[in-house]
Amino acid sequence: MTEPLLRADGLVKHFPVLRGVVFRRAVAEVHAVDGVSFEIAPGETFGVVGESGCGKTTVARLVMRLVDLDDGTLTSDGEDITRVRGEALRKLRLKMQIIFQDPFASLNPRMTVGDIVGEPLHIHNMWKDGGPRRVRELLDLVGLAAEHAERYPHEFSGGQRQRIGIARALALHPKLVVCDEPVSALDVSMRAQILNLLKHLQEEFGLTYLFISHDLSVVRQVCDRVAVMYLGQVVEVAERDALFDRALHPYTQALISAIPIPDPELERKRRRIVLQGDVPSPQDPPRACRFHTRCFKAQEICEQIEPELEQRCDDHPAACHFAEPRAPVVESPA
Amino acid sequence: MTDVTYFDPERDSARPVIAVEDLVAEFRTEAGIVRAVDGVSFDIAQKEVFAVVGESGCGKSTVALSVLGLLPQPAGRIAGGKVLFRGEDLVSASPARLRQVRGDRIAMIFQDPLSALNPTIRVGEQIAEVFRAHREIEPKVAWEQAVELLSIVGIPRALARAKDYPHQFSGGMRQRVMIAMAIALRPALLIADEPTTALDVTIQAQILEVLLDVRERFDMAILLITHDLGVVAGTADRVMVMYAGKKVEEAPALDLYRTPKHPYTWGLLGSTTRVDRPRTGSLPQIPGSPPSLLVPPPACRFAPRCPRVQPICRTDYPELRKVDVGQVAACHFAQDPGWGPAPEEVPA
Amino acid sequence: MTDDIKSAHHPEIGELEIAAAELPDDTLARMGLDAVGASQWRIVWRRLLRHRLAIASFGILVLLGVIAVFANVFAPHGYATQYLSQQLRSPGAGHWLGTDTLGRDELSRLIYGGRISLAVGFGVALSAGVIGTIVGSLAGFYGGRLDTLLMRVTDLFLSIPLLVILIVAATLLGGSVLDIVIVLSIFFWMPLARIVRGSFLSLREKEFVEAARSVGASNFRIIVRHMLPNAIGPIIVNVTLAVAEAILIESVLSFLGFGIQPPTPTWGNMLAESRDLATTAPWLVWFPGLCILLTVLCVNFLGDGLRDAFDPTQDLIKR
Repeated sequence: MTEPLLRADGLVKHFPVLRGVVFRRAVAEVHAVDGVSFEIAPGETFGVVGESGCGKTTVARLVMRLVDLDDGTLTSDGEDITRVRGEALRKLRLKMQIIFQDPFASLNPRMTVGDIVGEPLHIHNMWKDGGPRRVRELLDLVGLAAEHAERYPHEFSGGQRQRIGIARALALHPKLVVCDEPVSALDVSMRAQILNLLKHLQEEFGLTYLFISHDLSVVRQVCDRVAVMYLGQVVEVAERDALFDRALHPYTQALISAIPIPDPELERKRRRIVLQGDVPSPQDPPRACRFHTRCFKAQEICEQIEPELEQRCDDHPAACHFAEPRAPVVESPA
Repeated sequence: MTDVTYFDPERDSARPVIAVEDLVAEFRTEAGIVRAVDGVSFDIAQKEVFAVVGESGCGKSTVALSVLGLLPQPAGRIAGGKVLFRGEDLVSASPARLRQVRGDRIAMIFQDPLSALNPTIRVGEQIAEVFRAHREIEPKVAWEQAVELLSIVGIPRALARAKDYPHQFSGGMRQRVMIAMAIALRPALLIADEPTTALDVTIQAQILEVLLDVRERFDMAILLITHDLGVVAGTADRVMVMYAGKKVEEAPALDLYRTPKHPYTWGLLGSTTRVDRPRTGSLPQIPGSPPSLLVPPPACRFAPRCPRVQPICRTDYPELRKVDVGQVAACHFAQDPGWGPAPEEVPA
Repeated sequence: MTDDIKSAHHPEIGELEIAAAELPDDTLARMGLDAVGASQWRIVWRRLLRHRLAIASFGILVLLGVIAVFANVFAPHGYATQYLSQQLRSPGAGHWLGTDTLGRDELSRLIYGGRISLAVGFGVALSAGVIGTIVGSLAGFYGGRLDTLLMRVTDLFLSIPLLVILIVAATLLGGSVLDIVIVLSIFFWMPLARIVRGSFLSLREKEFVEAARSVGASNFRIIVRHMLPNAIGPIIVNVTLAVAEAILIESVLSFLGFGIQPPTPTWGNMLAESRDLATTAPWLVWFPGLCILLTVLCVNFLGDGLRDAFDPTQDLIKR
């Protein structure tokens, strides 16, 4: 691998659970992210998947420096960005941008589309240098018309709003774009349009994506490498096809097998792993292997010794005492 | 409650549980009248899982609400058509009769179970309440039944958990509680409106399993409203696809996926991401966005986005055409031999 | 409940538009204004113009203001001139709105009284609005210790009986209009501060605020450009209510003898003086009461219109 564009090393973020009105005190801690490490190479799409509460969205915000780390380091292009503040942090914004999940909540309803897309230019003193032209260019890039600049976000459909969000993220020519569930709030036909747009933009500008999603089928479509998270920890990292065809961790296997396939014949023939119970509370995660309470392979050792995230076969680390591949999604591709 | 129509195998097994005929549902808005559902017909047989698929705004949820007579008031109303429940028209039924049928013979579960449950009442009480509303029954018996229902839908330690409040349950468990409430009186039809959309995938798999299990156990028909073609594939017997208030295609599940006859159907299938397929270039996509229902396209509503559009599509409305046993499609060319998606419209 | 009824999680779209949300969203686009090349304020002004009641109210308020400012031109008599032979005349020719116990012309007194009442009402509402907005913004935006500190100060102010302090302050400061505005403002900002803090707390969690942060916006920019415009509705409602309240409180002060002193008229003290004459000379109660009511109503309607005008989603409603 070449020099990574972004390296995350042992990221930790715990959120305090506050109680009390006058004197607020922490009564517990949510272990949102608990020792997460990964590297993203320039030009690749690195996926982070997991269910709600696994910490994937917190990872996105940590990387964007929207929330502060409790522990760990972030390195971008060899520069430590873990604690940059003020002007240095503003400079960092030129390099890293984010696309949000909810196209209804991520655009200020009181600003016009032109103001929204142009805001990064104003903030970074680039407006005088052909600002309006750049806004038109950006709108055109994401498939909107120049006249749309005068409208307000509520006049657009979900898919179009997501395009506005993408235009804003691209305004500063970033290298890394964090995509936080960019299509999960959209309808199927809009989803395909946005995924194709993201891919097109990546090819055109050599963008690197950190792609956060709960939907493994979307991840399979867009990502080059994937990390699977469970309760604040990475349980498996692999190249896309290695992950989908030879998943090693029981959780990944269950997750893949739970995604329905839009094909009745295959869908009804599948051997599905139905996990028992719910995801435990991240306030009080299970000891040792965090997945052992729901795991179909769990043994005594899983409750006692935490499995390390270590290489199982070539470049395919998984954190399980009993990691081994399972048959692919569908037993015999028809 | 004496005159509730119960299922009589001899009389009823041949005819559909519910038959919707030419349903028209309208909403008054500031900008004018909107036909959210425009002339939709379908029927659901005993024990059948019938899925209605489409994107947001296509009218699928309005269909579900119309069947129950629950359109938001005063903006919404049923402007035409019939909803025949075992032959009895619910559109013209009295409000009292509708209340009787609702919850008893036809029950519904929603996407967000938390807002459908009362946060201040123990879940066991809430289920028992369903019995007391519709049946004369001892409180103690009702409670016992509630506990039993909770264990049927797979809630562990049902006896203890019946005393808990809704917020003490996780999302998946709450949806199970909703299902328990809905099936309490053994309804003939269960309407499930996006029952798993708010849930994680591993939980979704559990809930779908519960639904299919109670269908089997109680011989219920299920009207499943969803946008997810994957969920449909695993659960539905027959599928209706809606677009901009119209029914565009209906077919047995296998045929719909194997030989879709409406370009919108295959557009949806093509643009759905799949976990079992390696990436092959870009996804096929449907261009544009759905039309305004205030000023819908004059003829075929899909024409502005259709890859196969012809002049006739912009002038004549395509009626539903029969293309195979049980399969109809509202496309002028549906009956043409060889009509179907081109190879590039379906990813390999 | 359903995806068709999408507005449920979208507070800007009200209940009435449940059905409208059933439409694909770009329909709404077609119904929207094509506001090409207009600045934010021009757009707000144009929307306000469509709000007839608000415009009428605005007109009336301007009229009242002009009459009050040029009271010496409009008033037919002096406010303190006593026509001793014409005490307690009912409305009619000569004295259109009648006279009071001292034979002073009621209309002239109302016109002069408007000067002070309007100045106090608007002065207090605006300055208290500014204080409340600043305190609430800072508390809601920064949270933590600053929030705790500011909110305890707010509680402290709320817990002091208003009247006691007003009386003390008015005797210390004297009874000029400016003094009254200052003193009242200090005790009028708390409710607004709490409201603004509340909406800031919820706005702080919105993704568009995070989005602004992630493009590098400063805290000041986020407060002014992203959060305040989205909190403008409650601010305007609260400020308009404060206008009415300040006019009335001023009358209480006058009544207690600590506000503007007779013979200088205010609507409040005119109302107070005539309280015993409600049966014998009812017009002395009605006219100042009506003036206060008219001002309060107009301010409220104008506030309504302004709130709608600032909300771009209101384009949906055609008038």
